[in-house]
Amino acid sequence: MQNLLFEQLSLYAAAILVLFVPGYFFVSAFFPKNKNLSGLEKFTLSVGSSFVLVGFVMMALDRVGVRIDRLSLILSLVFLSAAFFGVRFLFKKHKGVAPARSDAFVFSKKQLVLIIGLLFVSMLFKTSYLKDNIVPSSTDLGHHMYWVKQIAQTGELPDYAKKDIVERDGKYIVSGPQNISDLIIGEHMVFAAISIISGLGVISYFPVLILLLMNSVGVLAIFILVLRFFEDDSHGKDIAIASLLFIGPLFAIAPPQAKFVGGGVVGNMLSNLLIPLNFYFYFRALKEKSAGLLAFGIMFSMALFYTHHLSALLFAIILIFSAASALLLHFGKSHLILWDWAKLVFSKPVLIFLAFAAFFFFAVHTPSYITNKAVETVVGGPSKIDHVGLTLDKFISAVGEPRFVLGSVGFLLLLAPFAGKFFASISGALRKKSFSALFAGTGKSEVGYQNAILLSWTVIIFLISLYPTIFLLDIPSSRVSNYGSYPLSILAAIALVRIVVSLKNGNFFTLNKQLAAGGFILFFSYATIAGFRDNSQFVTSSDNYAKTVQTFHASEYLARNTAPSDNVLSDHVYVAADSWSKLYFMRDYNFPFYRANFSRYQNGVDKEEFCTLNMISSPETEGSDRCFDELGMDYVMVSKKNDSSQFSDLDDFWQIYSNEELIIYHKAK
Amino acid sequence: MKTGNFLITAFFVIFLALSFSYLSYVETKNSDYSHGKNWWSLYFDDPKSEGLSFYVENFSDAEEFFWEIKFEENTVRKGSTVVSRGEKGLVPISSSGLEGRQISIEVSGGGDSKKIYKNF
Repeated sequence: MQNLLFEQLSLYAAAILVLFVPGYFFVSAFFPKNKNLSGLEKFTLSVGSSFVLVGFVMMALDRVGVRIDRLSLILSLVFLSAAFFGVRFLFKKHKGVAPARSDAFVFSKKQLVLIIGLLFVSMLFKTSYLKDNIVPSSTDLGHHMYWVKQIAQTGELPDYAKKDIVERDGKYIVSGPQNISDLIIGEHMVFAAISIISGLGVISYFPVLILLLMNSVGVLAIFILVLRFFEDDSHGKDIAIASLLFIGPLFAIAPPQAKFVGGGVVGNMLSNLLIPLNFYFYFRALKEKSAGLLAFGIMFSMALFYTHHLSALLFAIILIFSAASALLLHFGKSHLILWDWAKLVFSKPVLIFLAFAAFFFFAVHTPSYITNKAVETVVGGPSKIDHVGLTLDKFISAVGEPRFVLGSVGFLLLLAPFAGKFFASISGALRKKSFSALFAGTGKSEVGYQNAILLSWTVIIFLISLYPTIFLLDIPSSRVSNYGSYPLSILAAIALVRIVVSLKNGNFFTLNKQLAAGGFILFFSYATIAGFRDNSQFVTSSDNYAKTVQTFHASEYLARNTAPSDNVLSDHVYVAADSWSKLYFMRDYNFPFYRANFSRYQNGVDKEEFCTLNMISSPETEGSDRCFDELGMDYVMVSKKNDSSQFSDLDDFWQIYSNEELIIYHKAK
Repeated sequence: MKTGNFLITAFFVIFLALSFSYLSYVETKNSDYSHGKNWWSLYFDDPKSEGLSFYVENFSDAEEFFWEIKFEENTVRKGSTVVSRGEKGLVPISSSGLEGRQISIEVSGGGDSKKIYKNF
């Protein structure tokens, strides 16, 4: 217990130093106190900025050849924070023109209770789900933590490469290191920094907790984004609170929330914090015509490109379409808008930061997917069955039915001012006044950047999920669809608030007020029940950890008893938490080699060799014998229940280890 | 002017800290090989050589483990060993006089049995 307490204190201290302190001083330096940033924004941006800055610091340390260890990390972060503290005083002396603080962040007591209540229930649901998934076992997280441990062990940033089984000149061999295209340094640096500073090993609770932290701050990022989007709308705060409902309690577990946290979908999780913050800065920069804010936006975009290429690609497409939509929605004055943008882009802060970004990109660290030319692997159209696009049903299921239904209403409501006159002219049966009020909220709303962003965000995710060929993309469709949950939550919130307001004002078409209220309550109940049902699909009380610890025990045994020249084969199909085995060896990302899911041998793309399949599924065959001999495979770790029978009658396999779940065989020479 | 921002942030941090503490406690408990578990493992001390000494590592309620050495299905030696929960016990076996096709070691304890073997 004392040990746990000490570990906890170490983790908290490291997490605060890595994920709060540098960002706090950075934000304090560039945003004059209490002028144009609320406390909630400052907190959220401190975490987001820290994530960005720690990455830059670690890449810089690695570039100049300084070992990334506890001392160098602490000193750099403290020095950086002190430097920003100095800049803060400099800015104080030269007070710039800062807009007054927005009232959008002043909450009534009722609103506070509601916000805190929603945050509490969200955290409760997530914690309840994660208690069964907190023992490290998910495949993705195991893969990522290998690189985190490597950074912590070597003090250097890794070259993403792995050995593989290949056939050369009619003989199976283990290849030299081959580049890996789908891993990016930003996914691993923060975890490595916290592991190094706290001393906590990666096979522990800490990676999931850091993901939970990033996920929760990501929800706050959506909240502050919506508050900024609708700060001129008298119901802006209601929309932001309703967004919290749709992204919080109603869908607290469904992907990309707690399910992705427990599943270790690191890139998506981190991007779900960075994407809202990107939009936050771009939106404010354009709305407030602030070059400084645009520079921050570019900085966060840069961080996104160093963290997750799929998210960065989607974000870039959405941004381009948002810009095009904004021009289209303001067609008559598009030349003025373009002129405003040009003034922002060719401003001093933006040009200085772009120069820094270019220097960093070329001279400090180039993302591995650029050096590996991995971009080519995600363009050109779908190459796999799960890349060809989802059906509408599957998309709805991925984002949640009520969120989709209400989100669609919200989408139409945002579009309405644009097409309002057209609709009004053909809907003579409707009372024009109430119709406009329903669409435009309080009447102050105009088609602004927030609408362009929200419409593009939704449309692009929808189109790429269902029709990836339009954009010639080759990326997993179901993974893309999960990006739809954020814009649809905001749109659903808009619909909910607008409908409630219209009901309250009695201007909901010509319907009887009681009937309309009854209908709404019915629909709200459906949304709530469907949301919670969605959550419950993912809640499974599980004792998987009992299997996981046995995999860890068997892996420890093998790591202890094998020489560096020995080869080991494991199984991904039936062995729990098999991807974590490699962390006990730390010999290669692909060590132990493993039998992959059967479908990967059948699709003709993922797996070009069949040794890993045959050596476990049919070890008695001549082909397998050849694989064992040519690859020098010394040990096989398999499920006792599913894969031991085919080995039991073979004379050249010694059964050397057995627990409740696993058996290890040694192939005698 | 009070905005409530501090309250939201403070409660957010408190909820997060409570969640962290609870989940850390659960993980520490669940990832412990022994805590609340009921399993044991059997393995050779040296997996590659012809040595037959073996370990029983116990994370179950059983304490006494009975072992048998079989030479081509015939029991040639047997005995028992006591291994407490969370401990591991080495059973040293001399391989002299055990030259044969398959030498297997079967261990039973706590209502379960396990086997390891080497083929020469």
